[in-house]
Amino acid sequence: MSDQRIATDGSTPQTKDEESAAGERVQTDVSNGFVIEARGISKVFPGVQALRDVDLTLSRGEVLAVVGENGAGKSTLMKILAGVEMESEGVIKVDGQQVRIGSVDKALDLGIALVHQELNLCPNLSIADNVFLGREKLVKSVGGLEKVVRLVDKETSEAETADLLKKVGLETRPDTLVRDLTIGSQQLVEIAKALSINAKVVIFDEPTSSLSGPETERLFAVIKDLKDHGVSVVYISHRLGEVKHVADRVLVLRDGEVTGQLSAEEITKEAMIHLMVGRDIEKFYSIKHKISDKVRLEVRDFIVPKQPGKPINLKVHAGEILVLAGLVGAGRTEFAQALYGIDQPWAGRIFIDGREVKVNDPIDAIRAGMLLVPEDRKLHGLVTEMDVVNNITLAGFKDRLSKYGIVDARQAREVASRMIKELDVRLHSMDQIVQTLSGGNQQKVVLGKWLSMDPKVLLLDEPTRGIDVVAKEEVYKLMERLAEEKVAMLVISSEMQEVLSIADRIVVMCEGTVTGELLPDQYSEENVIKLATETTRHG
Amino acid sequence: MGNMKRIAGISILLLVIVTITAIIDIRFLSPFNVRNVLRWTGLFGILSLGAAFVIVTGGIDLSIGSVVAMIGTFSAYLMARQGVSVALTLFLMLLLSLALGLAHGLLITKVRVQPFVVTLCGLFIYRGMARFVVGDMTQGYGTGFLGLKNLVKSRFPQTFWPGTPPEFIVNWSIPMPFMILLILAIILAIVLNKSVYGRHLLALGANERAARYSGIHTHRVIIIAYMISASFAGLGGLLFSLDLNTVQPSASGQMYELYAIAGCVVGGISLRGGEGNITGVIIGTAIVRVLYNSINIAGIATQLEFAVLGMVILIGVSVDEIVKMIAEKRRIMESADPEALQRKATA
Amino acid sequence: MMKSRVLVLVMVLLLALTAMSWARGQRAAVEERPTVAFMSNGPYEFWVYAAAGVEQAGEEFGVNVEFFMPPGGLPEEQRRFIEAMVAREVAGIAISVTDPENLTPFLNEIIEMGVPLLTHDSDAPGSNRLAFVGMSNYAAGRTAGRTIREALPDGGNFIISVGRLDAQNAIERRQGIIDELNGEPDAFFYPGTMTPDRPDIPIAGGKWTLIDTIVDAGDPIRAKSNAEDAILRHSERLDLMIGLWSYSTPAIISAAQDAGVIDDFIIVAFDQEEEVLQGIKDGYVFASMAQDPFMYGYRSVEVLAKIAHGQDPGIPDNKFIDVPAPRITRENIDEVWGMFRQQLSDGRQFLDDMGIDQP
Repeated sequence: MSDQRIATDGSTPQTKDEESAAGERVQTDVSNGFVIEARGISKVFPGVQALRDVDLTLSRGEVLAVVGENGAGKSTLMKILAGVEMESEGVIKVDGQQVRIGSVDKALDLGIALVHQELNLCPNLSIADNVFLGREKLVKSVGGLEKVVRLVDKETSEAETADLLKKVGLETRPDTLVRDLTIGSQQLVEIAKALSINAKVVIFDEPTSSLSGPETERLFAVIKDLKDHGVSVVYISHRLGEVKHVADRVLVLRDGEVTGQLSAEEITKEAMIHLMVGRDIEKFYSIKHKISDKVRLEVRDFIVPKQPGKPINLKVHAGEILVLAGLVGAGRTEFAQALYGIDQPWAGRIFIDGREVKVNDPIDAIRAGMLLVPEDRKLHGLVTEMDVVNNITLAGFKDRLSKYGIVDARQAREVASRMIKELDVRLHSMDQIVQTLSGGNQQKVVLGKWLSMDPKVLLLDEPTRGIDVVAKEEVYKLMERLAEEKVAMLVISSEMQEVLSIADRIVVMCEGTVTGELLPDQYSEENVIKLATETTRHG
Repeated sequence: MGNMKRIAGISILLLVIVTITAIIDIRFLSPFNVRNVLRWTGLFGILSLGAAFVIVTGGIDLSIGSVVAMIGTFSAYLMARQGVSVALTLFLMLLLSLALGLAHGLLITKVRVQPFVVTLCGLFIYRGMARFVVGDMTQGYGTGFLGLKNLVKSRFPQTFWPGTPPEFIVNWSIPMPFMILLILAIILAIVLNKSVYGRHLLALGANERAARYSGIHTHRVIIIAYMISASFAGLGGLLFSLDLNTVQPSASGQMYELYAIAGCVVGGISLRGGEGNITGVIIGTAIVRVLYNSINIAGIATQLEFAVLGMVILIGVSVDEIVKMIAEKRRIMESADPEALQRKATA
Repeated sequence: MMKSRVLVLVMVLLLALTAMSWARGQRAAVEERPTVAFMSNGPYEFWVYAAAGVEQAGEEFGVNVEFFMPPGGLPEEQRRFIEAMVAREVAGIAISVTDPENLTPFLNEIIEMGVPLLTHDSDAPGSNRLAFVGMSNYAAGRTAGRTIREALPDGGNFIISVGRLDAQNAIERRQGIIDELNGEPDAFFYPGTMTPDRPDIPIAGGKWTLIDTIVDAGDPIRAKSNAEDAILRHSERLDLMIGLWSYSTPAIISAAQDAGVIDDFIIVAFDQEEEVLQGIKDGYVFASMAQDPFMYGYRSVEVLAKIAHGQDPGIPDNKFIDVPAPRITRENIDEVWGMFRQQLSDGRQFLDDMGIDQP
C-alpha cells in the first residue's frame, strides 16, 4: 500500500515541468527531513563483505559527498539505492516510508536516478533514445490503438532532450548517435538522462572521471541548479578538491564501513584522507629505492590506436616506477595494450635495453621480457575457472615449461609453488580454482605469472584496483622489490594517492598523447588534473 | 546514415549479380523467372524477418527449419487428413508456434540455457514430432483448399483484376508471397524503428546492462523476439506447404534456419546483436535467392551451388567489414591531431 | 533455478513415457496355429499396405502373425521385439532392417539358434538370413528406361530430378534408365559402374540426351525451384522429366502447373504419392514405377509359413525373392488405385483387430 503511494508520487512529476514538480515535492516531504534514510545497510557478495552496517541520510536539497578508496564500498552502496543491487541487511526509508528498492524500475518510480561510473549507454541509439530509454515518450494517438501500438514520439523526445542537453552544456543534436560522441560527451548524456526523470535524488558516481575542466564546471552548475530546486544529490568522487567545492556534507567509507562524517565547515582534504586511509598522508606508503641510468624501455614516435594523438616519446629506466596518470579514456590502457602487442600502434618503435623490438603479438612482447598486468583481472589477467598452478604457469608453457609440445607438469608445479611462497599468496591448495581467491590474492597470482618469467619491463594497468588496503601494501612492496631487481615499471593508476606516493616520475596523458611530465618536487593533485584535462585538439 | 550506405552497398551487389546473369542468359529477366525469384524471396524472406528479430537481441534461432516442417505438416494433416476447419487449424497453428517461441524465450531468459542450445534442441524435437505424428507420411492438400492456396498462388493485381487483365498485368503481376513479405516488412519496420518495443530491442542487443539499468524488462523483450521468430517460421511453414501442395515431414525445411540467418547476415544484421535493418534483410534474402537462380540459369555445375553461395556471402560481408574499418580509422584520424597525421604520412 | 530444471526433466520423462505407451498393444495369439513375426522399420503408413498382405498370407497359409512397427524406428526396439519373439518360440521372423551394420551380428545369433529369419524391404546383406524379399532399384530403373523409350520412341531430351546422387537407390535407378536406353543386355542387379553426372549426356548414340540430373539435397522446395529453373532454361528442347524420389515428381508437377506448362513435356515418376496417382489419372503423368509393400508382407509370411509347415519355400539360389515394381499407367490406374485403397482399408482393419496403433 505505502509503496504504491510513493510510486505515484515519484512518477507524477515526470509529466509536469520541473518547477511545479519541485514545488509539489516540498509539500509531500512529510518525513523527519530526510529524503533518504538508510540504516544498518550490509551487503555480502560471495566471499566479500562489501558493506557493513552503513548508515546514510540525505536531506532535501542537500549535496552529500561519499568518499573512500577503491573497494571501500561506495559504488555498492549507490547501486543498492538505485535498485541495481539488493541489500543483504538494513532498512531504507524514502520520504519516511520503509521500502525495498530491488529494481531499477522501482528506484526510478521512487525518484532516485543514478549516473553510473561506467557508461551505460547504447552506442547504436541516438542521444534522445538513450535519454528516454525505458521511459519513452509515446505518440498520443495512433487511431485509437495507442494502448497497443506504442510508438515513440521522436519530436517530443528530441525537443525535451535538446533542453536537457542545453542544461548540461552539450551542444550536439539530440539525434546524434551515441557512438559518435567522445567519452566526455557520453558522460554528459548520462547526466542528462538522470535529469530527465525529474528525480528527487540524483546519484553521481564519479561523474568527472572523464570530464575536462570546462565540462566539470558545467556539471557543478547543474548540481547547484538541482539543489536550488530542492533536489538532493549524492556525489561520489576521488577528486577531493572537487568534493570540498561542491559538498554540503561528506560521508567517508573504508572497507565497507563508515569511518566518519564531515560537515561543510569541517571538510578539508587532510581530514578526508585521514578518514579514508586511517592515517595521515605523510604515512601513506612510499617507495624508496635507487634508479639506475640505464634505459630499459624506450618508446619513440608512438601513435596509440583507437585514441590517436600526438606521437609519444617515453623512456623508462631500470628500477624506475613511472606512473601514467590521466582521466578515464585518456588512452593510457590503449597505449599499454599497443605496447604489449594486443593492438597495433599506428606508428612508433619500441626499444628494450637499447634493442629495437617488433611487437606484433603479445608473444613477441613476452619473449622480449615486457609483460602486462591487465586492468581487468578477471577478464584479461586470469582464467578464473582454472586452478592456481595453471594460471601461474600459463604463459610459460610454450617456451619454458614444455618439451615437444608436452607440458612438463612437475616443473610447472615447482615454479608455481615458488611463486606462491615468494608472493605469499594465501590459499589452501595449489589446485584451488582462482575464482575462489580474494581479489588481492588473485592479483598476486597474475603478478606471479609474470614474475616467474623474469621480466625486464612490467606494464601494470591499475594494479591495485578493487583490492583491500593490506593487499595493496603487499603489491607496493613487491613493486619495490622488483625495482631493486632493476625491472622497469610503467604503472597506470587513476587513484590520486597512489599516483602521488609510488611514482618516481609521473607522466600525464590526455586524448591519446602525453601532455606533461612531473618530477617529485612538482607533485600535486592540481598539477596532475591540470595536465590531464589539457586538451591538445584544435577546434 | 550507416544503414543507408549499407543498403546501397548490397543493392549494388544484387544489381551486379542480376546484370551478370542477364548478360549470360537474358531469359533471367523473363516474367516467368522474375515471378519465381520474387515468390521464393517472399517465402524465404518471411523466415529471415523473424530470424532478424532474434539476431538483434544477440541470440540465434536454429529451430526455424524444423518449425517450418512441423507447422506445414500439421496444417496439411489437420485440414486435409483430419477435416479440421481451415479457421480452427490456422488458429491452432498460430497458437502452437507462439507457444514454441514462448518456450524458447523462457528457457533462454529464466532457465538461462544458451539460445544456441535451446533452439538446436528445438531443431531436433520439432522435426521428430512432425515425423512421428504423421508416421513419416507425406501430407498434401490434394485438389482442394483453393481459397487458402491463393495465399501463395495468386498474383497482385492480376488475380484481383476485374475482367480479363491485359497482357502486361498478366506478365508482371507480383506473386502473393512477395506481397505478404512486403506487408510484414512494413509492419516490422515500424515495430523496429518507431515503436517502444523496437527501441528496447535495439538497446538490449547493443548493451544489455544499460537496458536493464534503464528499467527495461529485458526478459520480456527477448521472449517476444523469439515468439516473433517462431510465428514467422510457422507462417512460412504453412505457405511453403501450400506452395508445393505437399509436405514431407522428414525433408521439408531442412537448413532453412541457415538460409534465414544468411539472409540477415548479408542484409547487414550483425550476429553480435544491436543492429537491425528490415530493408537490408529483404535485399539480403533476395541476393541468396537470386544466386541460387543464377547458378541454375548460368549453367554452373550444381555441385558448386553451395560453394558459390558461401563465397559470395563471405566476400559481401568481408568487404562490408573492411569498409567499416577504413571509415572508422578515417573518422578517428580526422578528429585526431593534424600534426600526428603529418608524421604518420612521412614515416 | 534448480526447481525449473527438475520440472523440465520430469516433463521430458513424461513425454517419453507417453511415446512408449504408443507401442503397447500386443495381443495374445490363438495358439493352435504356428506364429510368425513381421516387423517394419518404423510406424509408417507404407506398412499399413504390408499389413494387408501379411493378413492375407496368414489366412492362406495357416499361420498367426505378430505384426510390429517399432515406434521410434530404432534398432534397439527391433532387438527387443526379436528377443521377445524368440522367447515365445515363434516359427519365423521377417524384418525390415533399420541399421544393417548394427544388427547383423545379432541377427546371425538368432539364426544360429535355429529361428528362420528373412529380411524384407531393407536388407542386411552381410547376415546369414534365409532370403531377402524386396525389389531391385536397378531393375526398377530399367523399367523406367523402357517407359521413357515408350514415351519418346523417336528419341528426345530428358531431365532426371532426385534428392542426392550419392544415395544407392538414386544411383541404381538412374543407371537402370541409362543402361536400358543404351540397349545394354538385360540385367537384374546393378553392375557397379555409374555414368558420371555431366550436362548433356548422349544416350544410344545421341538418340536420347540426358540434359541434366538436378539434385536438391533432399529439400522438396528446392526440387521445385530447380525444376522451374530447368523449365526456363531448357524449355525449347525439354521432352520429359522423371523424378526418382517420392517427392521429386510432386515437385515437378507443382512447378509445371504454376508455370502453366504441365502439357508441354512428359512426366514420369517413381512411387505412389497421391499427387502422382492423381496425375496419372488426369493424364499429365505418363507412368510411375511404384513399390509394392503389400507383396513384401505377403511373400515374407508365405515363405515363413511354408517353412513352419515343413514345405519347400522355394527360395532361389541368390536368396533374392523379387517383388517387381508395378508400373502404374493410365490403363491400370483405376484398378491400381482401387487396389491400393482396398489394401489400405484391409490393412487398417487388420491392425485394428490386432489392437495396434495406426500411423
